[in-house]
Amino acid sequence: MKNILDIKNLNTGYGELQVLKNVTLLLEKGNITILMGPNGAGKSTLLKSIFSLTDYIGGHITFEGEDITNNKAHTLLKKGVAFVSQGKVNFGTLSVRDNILLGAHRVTDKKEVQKRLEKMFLHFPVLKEKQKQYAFSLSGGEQQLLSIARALMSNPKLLLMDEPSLGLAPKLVKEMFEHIKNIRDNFNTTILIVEHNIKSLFDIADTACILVQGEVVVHDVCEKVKNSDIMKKVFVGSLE
Amino acid sequence: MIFNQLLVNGIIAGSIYSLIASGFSLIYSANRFVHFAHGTVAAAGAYMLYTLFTLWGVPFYIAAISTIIGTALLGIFIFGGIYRTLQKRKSSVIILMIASLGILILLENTLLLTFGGDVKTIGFLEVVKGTEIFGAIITPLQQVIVGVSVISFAALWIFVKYTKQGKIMRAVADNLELAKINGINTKKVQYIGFGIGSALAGLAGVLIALEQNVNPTMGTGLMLKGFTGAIIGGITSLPGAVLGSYLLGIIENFGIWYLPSGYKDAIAFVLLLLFLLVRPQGILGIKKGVRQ
Repeated sequence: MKNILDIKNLNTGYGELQVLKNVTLLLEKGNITILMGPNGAGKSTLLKSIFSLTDYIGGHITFEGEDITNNKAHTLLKKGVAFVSQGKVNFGTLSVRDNILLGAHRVTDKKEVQKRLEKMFLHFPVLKEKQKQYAFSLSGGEQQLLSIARALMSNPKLLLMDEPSLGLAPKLVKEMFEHIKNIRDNFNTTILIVEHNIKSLFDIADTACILVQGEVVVHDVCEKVKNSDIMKKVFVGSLE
Repeated sequence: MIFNQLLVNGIIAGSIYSLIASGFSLIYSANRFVHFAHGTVAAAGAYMLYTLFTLWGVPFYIAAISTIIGTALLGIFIFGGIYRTLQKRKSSVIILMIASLGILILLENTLLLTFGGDVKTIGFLEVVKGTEIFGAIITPLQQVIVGVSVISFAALWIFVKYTKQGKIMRAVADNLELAKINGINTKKVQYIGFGIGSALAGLAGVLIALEQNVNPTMGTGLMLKGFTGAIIGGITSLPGAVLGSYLLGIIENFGIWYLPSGYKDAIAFVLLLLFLLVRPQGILGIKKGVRQ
């Protein structure tokens, strides 16, 4: 099967407020898809909705042919969907090592957990070096890597990332995107990423989707989206 | 030698407070609302022991263990039956706190209705002369109180610090939303928090019942001390809650050497206010915003 995630006519919101309006989106296996749009377009809400963190109104989400609409986080993780939320979020008062291990807390095979942990340390050597430190003592970039490593511990087939470059220095943003590319290539993971630093992300992404006021206005290969009129409007911020 | 005696008295009081405070801290950490009825669970424990041991003649150790299990179940029942129902209706923490006051009043009055307002004594141990340690007199029971409190805390500390379930509990205490995203069964953690926390309250109830008289309103006083101990030590930090409780016990006992003993509770409140004003995160608590 080529498609991994199929969202059809999804409507969600927060309480009385409807944010997503008939969102339809198809993701192909192994792709990196950028989700972009003006502030308040519903980008983060879309990721949260896949993870049932919003109030459901209607529509369907299918993952590898299986309906995952309104599935709880632990079911999604088991099926292979993981979520890296916005803003360097970690369990600050736990050690770096414990933070990573919590990503696989439902895996009972200790050898398998150890194998995954070593893989994380191989890909993120800085986390191995600082494994005994409290997570809150890490720098912004390291914290972001930590939350990604924790998400990868569940061996996800689909990784949802909400602005992983938020608050990082330009040099670190580039490094972050390199990491994201490596995740796709080495972990065989499909990635849906909300990002504002789209210019450099276009180099590594396969497709791009623009969301405006809770609706998908375009979803196509990066090259086409990059040169589209809508893209220019989004960039100059005049699209209402 | 009066200094040593006051210090020992403070440590004994602190041992009781710390059992209440560590249970309270555990429940608060996993749930993020103030469970004011926690002290009354300890009072209910004291009455369970009174009923089983004094009234029904159940052997003491079986009665004590049954009491601890009974209070754990009471805590789980309070959470599952009341707080969880309110949480499902998306009630705010204020509503949960008001509910906790309601439960406190209900439990206290149930005890009053069932057992009457007069004080009860367990009568398990005869009053014996204490031994002298560094010039301070301490009875065997008081030694047991301090010992049990320290051992319970050490066991609790090993549980939260080194076991997988303990780490999961700390993760929930640290960031509930993130814990949910990571597929942690936060509901189960909340039940475990209430179970263990209430068992500790039951243990405190057993020890108090042996040391002092039992009365229906003793829970409120215990809660205030446990709450104060937890706040001054750092409410989400278990070692903090214990440290704060011992500090409170010691300050209280030194205070009443200089002030009339009626000021004992006032000393606790002044300490609570001072900490809330000067260091609201407590001694070992982490200031909000620093950790992320």
